[in-house]
This record gives sequence, C-alpha cells and structure tokens, in this order.
Amino acid sequence: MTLNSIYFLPFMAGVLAVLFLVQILGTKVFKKESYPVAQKIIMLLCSFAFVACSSPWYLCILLGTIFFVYVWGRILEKKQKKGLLALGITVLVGELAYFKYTNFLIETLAACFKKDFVMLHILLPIGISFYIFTSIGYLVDVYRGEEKAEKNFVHLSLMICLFTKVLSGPIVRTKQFLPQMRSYRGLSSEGVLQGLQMFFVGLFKKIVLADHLSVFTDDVFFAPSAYGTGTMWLAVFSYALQIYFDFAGYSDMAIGATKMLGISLDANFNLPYVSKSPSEFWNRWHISLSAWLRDYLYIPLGGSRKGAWRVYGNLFLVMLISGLWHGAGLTFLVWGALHGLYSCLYKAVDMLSGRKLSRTKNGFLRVLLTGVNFFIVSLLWVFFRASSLPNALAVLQGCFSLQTGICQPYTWSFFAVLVLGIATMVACVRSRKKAESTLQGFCPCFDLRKMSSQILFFTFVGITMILGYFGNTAFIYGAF
Amino acid sequence: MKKVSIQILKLILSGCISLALLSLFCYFYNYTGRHVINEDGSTDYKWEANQYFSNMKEGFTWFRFDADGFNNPSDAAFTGEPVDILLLGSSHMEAVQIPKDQNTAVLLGTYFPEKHVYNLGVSSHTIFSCVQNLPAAVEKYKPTSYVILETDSIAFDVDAMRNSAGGVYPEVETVQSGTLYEVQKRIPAVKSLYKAYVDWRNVSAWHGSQIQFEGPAEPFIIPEEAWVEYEEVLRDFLGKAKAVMPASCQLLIFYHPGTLLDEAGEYHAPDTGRAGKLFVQVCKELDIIFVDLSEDFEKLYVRENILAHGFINGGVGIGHLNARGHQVIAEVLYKTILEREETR
Repeated sequence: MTLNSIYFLPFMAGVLAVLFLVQILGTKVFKKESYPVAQKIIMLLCSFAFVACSSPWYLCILLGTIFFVYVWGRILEKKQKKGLLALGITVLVGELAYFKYTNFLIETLAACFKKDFVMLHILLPIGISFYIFTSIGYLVDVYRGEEKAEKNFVHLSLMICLFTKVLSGPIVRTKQFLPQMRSYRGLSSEGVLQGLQMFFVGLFKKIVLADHLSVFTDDVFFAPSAYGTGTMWLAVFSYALQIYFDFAGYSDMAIGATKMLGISLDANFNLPYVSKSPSEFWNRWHISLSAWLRDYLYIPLGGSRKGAWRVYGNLFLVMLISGLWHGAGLTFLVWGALHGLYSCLYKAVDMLSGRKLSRTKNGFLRVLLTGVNFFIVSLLWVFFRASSLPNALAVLQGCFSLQTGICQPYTWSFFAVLVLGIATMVACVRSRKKAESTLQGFCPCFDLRKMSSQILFFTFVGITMILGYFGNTAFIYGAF
Repeated sequence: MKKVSIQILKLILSGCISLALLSLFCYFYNYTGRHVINEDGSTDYKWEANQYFSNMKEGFTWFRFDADGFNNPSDAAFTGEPVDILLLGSSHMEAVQIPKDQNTAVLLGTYFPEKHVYNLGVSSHTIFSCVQNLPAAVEKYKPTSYVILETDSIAFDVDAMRNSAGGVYPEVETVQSGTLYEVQKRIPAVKSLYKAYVDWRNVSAWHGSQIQFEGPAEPFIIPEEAWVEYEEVLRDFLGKAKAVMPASCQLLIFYHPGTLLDEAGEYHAPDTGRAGKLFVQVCKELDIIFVDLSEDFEKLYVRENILAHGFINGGVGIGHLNARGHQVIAEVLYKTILEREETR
C-alpha cells in the first residue's frame, strides 16, 4: 500500500477513528490523561501492520533494525566511544549495502572482469534508505550528546517507522521528532483539518501533474531516437517537473498525514526550481536528505573550513554518495558525480568573481542564474531517469542533434508549467508581503470550519479526482 | 448537539454546491452523457438524441450527436433517405476524440459528395457486435452501395465468432433506470467521480507495468488441429455478414492495427500470422473487400513521423485513432471504392 493508493484513505480514516475514540474515552469516560500512550502504541501497531502488508519479511528486518538502534543508542550514551559509533554505523550501512548494492556490486565486478554472473534474489525492503539514515542520524546525535538515548521503545520505533513516512521519508531528525513524542497530546481538530488539506494538495501534485507527465516522459525515454529535438527538450523539462511534483507531492501527503496524527514535520521542498545556484537548489530540494548529508557527512568531513580544494573534494564526495543513495546503478553514480562537478564549478566561479554570483542584487542576473540553474539541473535529471548510460546519452544526443521524429507537444507539460508558475508567483507575492528574506513556498490551508472553505476544498478534491491519471505509476522515490 | 447539527448541515450544503461546480467543470472538461437501448437493434445501444459531448481526456472535442444518437455531420434524425455507404464499428469510428468534420465517415462523405454516408460507430462495439447487428442495420438503413465494417483485429476468438453468427454474442449493457442512473443523469460530476473512483480502485489493486514495447506481439497461435474448426467458424461468421447484404451492396472490412514503437524507434504492427492469411482468403472467397491499413500506417510513420493513434494529451501512439489516422483510412477507403467502381 502506498500513500496514493485508494486503500490508504480508509486505512488512514480507520486509524484516525480509533485514535479519536481512544481520546474521547480517555478524556470523557476515564478522565485520565494517559490516552496519548495508548494512541502512540496504536500508531506503532498500525505502522507494523502497514509494513507487514508489503511483506512480513520486511517487518522482521525493520524490527531488527529498531532493536539494534535502541540497544546501540543506550550503549553509546553510556560509553561515548568513537569506535562504538563507527561499529553502529557500519552495521546500519552494511544492512543498507547488502539489500541495495549487492547485485550492483556483482554486476559491476562481473563487467570489470568480463565474467558471467547470477543476480542474487534480494528484495529491497520498503523505506530502508530512509529509516537507515534516520537511525544513523539518531546514533550520531546520541554520540555527540545532542540528544539523550531514547528509553521509550515506542517513541524510537515511531521515529523510525511511523507508517505515514516510512515509505519515502522525510528523513526525520531526532531533535525534531522525539520531543514531540514525549509531549504528545493526541489529535487536534486543527491538525486533522490542516493535514487533510496538505494531503490532498500532495495528491493533486502526484496524480494530476506527476502521473500525467510520466506518460509522456516514459514514452520519450523509452525510444529517444523516435522523437524530434523539440519534443526531446520538452520531455527533459517535463521530467524535471515530474520528479518535482512526484516527490514534493509524496512529501506533502506524508507530512499532511503525519500532521493529522498530531505530529509536525518540516517541509521537504521549498520551490527548488527558483534556485540561483546548486547549493540553493539542495537547500530547497529534498531538504531532509540535504540537511542530513550536510550535518552528518559534509560538516564532519571538514565542510568549507579546510581550504578550497578540500571544499571541492567534500562537495564532490557528498554529491557522489547522494547519487549512490538514490539508487544502485551507474546512472545514479554519474548523476551524483555531475552534480558534484557542477557544485564545485559554481563555487569556483563564485569565489573567483568575489562572490558576485551568490550575492548579486541585480534582478536580471538573478533571473538569468535561475534559468541557467534550472537548465543544468534538468539536463542532469536525464541521467537520473535514464534506464542506462547509453539511454541517457541517446536522450542528450536527441536534444542537441536537431534530429527529426515524432512531434508531441504534450499538453500536460504546459499545464504543469502553468500550475508551477502560478504557485511561484503567489509565493513571491506572499513572501514580499511578509517581508521574508528568501522566497518561501507554502501549502494553502483554509479554515475548514467556514462554509466557503469547505466548498473550495470539496471542489478541489473533486477536480483532483476528475483530472487524476489512474495508470500504474508508483512514486519515483518509492524505489529508493 | 445543535452546533453539531449545524456543522453537518453546512457540510451537506457545501458538498451540494461543490457538486454543482464540479458538474459545470465536467460539462466543459469531460461530459459523456448517457446511452439508451437502441430499439431497432442496429447497434447494442445509442446515445440520447442530440446528446452533448465534451472530451478533453483524449483529444479535445465538444459536439452533439445526431438526433438518433450517432456521430454524423447533421444534427437531424435519420430521414429514411437511402444510405449509400453504411459504416459500422467501434469507438474508433464513433470518433469522439476528434472534431466532427475529421472522422472517416465525414471525410468519405466529402470525397464522395454524391453519396450519403452514415456512421453507426459506437464505443464498446466489436466486429462481433457489428456482424450480429448487421441484419437490423441493413433493414433500417437500406444501404445501396457499401457496408463498411471496422476492426482492429483479424485474429479472432472462435467462440466470439460462433456466438456472433448465432446471434447470441453478449450485448453492451445499458442501464436506463434506477437511482444511480437518475443521479448520473442530473448531476454530471457524479459519473466522472464514480469513473475516477473505479479507475483508482483498479489501479490500486494492479501491479502491472506501463504499456510499452516488449517485442513484437505474439502471433495468434492455436493448436494445429483447431485450425480446421477455426476456418469453418470464420467462414460461417463472415458468411453471415455477407448473406444479409442487399444485392447491389458490397461488404468491405478494413483492419487498422494498433502500433507500438520499439526502443530503436522502429514501428511494429501485430503479427496476425496464419489467422490473418486465413481471414484474407475467406474474404476473397466470399467476395468481401478486405483493406489492411498496416502498411499505410507504417508509411505514415516512416515518411511523416506521425502515428495513426494517440493524442497530444495522452500516450504516444496509444489509444484511439487520431485525425491523421482517420484521414489515412478515409483516403485508402476512397481509393479502394474508386478502383472498384472503375473496374465495374
């Protein structure tokens, strides 16, 4: 079951109903404040059931990970030794590596030594990339003394595997999640109503925009030599929009569903395509992963404190690991490496120009930088999307070779641009009104107790259903 | 209690207003109307008289069916004037994805201005429904020159052919009463929402993959000993269609294959194999003109990079015939008819 499955709605409604009932019984009948404990246990059981729905085996792996992280966190708190932390991280990374990269390694080695190979039958447990990173973050925080080891098993388990975010994140941080668990006060009507709206905004992004775009990009990336250059470019930009709407849509749904449960998560996307530089892009795209990589990898490596060459090296390494995290394949590795190169190149040019690029106030230059950044990021997505390196090169060749072929001015691409354009403009006006220093995206939420808001909301849900694409389109990040 | 009641009332009222707004939206975006039983039996069903239709899901069209519920240029009802060319077929011939003046039937009418062309194409119909309905259609429309049957396959299921020839092929169901019908009739949004719900439910339960080329389609294969029966039933099936033709009228069947592109961008039509050859042979024996559009569609792609199926708001080459596909079919049919007229 994924968040865009129709079965998730009754599942979510059922969980909310049970939690609500417990809350009512707790406050009205028993007059006790202990109901949040019961609610957290129910959420945890639902999370286990949610994972077990995919495979009981996945649940076993998840439970093993949670037990390990729980015990190791306690040990780390008592004996704050670097070796213990390294061992803990090695076990978790080893788990991820085994499930995600074994076959990739076999394939690569076999190709290097030109030998025949047999793929192992290893199924990738759902959400493993996300809950392993959450777990590593927790162990590091405990080791650093920034957080105490969680004694409540339910709290730690919910941080790692709460069903609303176990599939594809956001990667939650200890300091953000655990305090909310400790002071959990159950459901609130405001949280439910706001979360509901966020969920449906995410659903709109996913089933109306991303899924329609996937029809076109799948066709073009499947047979790139069949299409004309104009269509190739449209497909490249459409994929940039598709992956944004897909993952931002998922994130909105996950954050909205979590909010309905009475837990707040930070936004995972913040209008990434208005970025003027690669570093700004990563501060706006998949924020929870970027922040994780910054805090647990880039800064421990020395960040930007140890000279220019070290900065470039660190940037490149972090982007390479980010690429590998996304998927076990050469295309992801190349994508990460190219992003690393792009980040280094931008930083070098910016430093040489005396930070004129990053600090410019010139409106025209800012727009130009935004356009160039979007163009480069979109081109790099080609490696992310392509089924193989030759496929990626064929797409790029189609873009730059003025080839003739099928012309498909896909209308949903233009609609997606329109929606994104309007959303960006509204965000601009809102940011200006609020006198924010940087442009901030937002999720429109109304007061659903008002009738006008109810009409708007119901109409929006209806339009989402009517415009939705109901083909077979999984979340892109669900595969990671 | 009073507060809760007011909230519930507000919710119901908001829901009703939203449904009204959504219905307005559907009227513009996607309004498919309702079909009714066709009493004369020339098709399994027909659309309501002068039914308004809008479609932005596959192509972009807004039009009205004629007073008999079919897609013909005139809004008026069939007057009984002789029909020269009667066209029967599926949703491809119903052609609700393209403007009214661009479908095969209308184009044939413009190529033959002296001939009256009437289109009985209705969605969900197959060649089996068309052959089953042919006697009634011939009786009502009394075609004088040609009856054209459309099919997107020529490798058939034996039972379907047998049932059609025997007049027991299952008809497309039409619901003309009941609460759901009344609600759908009065509130267009309900139909769209219900359709979305069904599609969403189906896709949530489905774990297949996107339609994409996975090698040329498997040729139609049946056991060697079954071919004798297949040929016999095919002959009976096509013979039944041929038998109801008025003396002056020629039966013409055209086949338009679906297409897929492989990774290299090469065009592939399904391999109809032995069944295809048998179909051609039986048509010849029964004096049925058979037109195969495979090569014409391939030429269209190779020369102009255009596929006969698909629209700019859907998958490439997937779905119904587009305007160009209809044009190619109309041109080929026109040439075929012209050649026959000249040789007579």
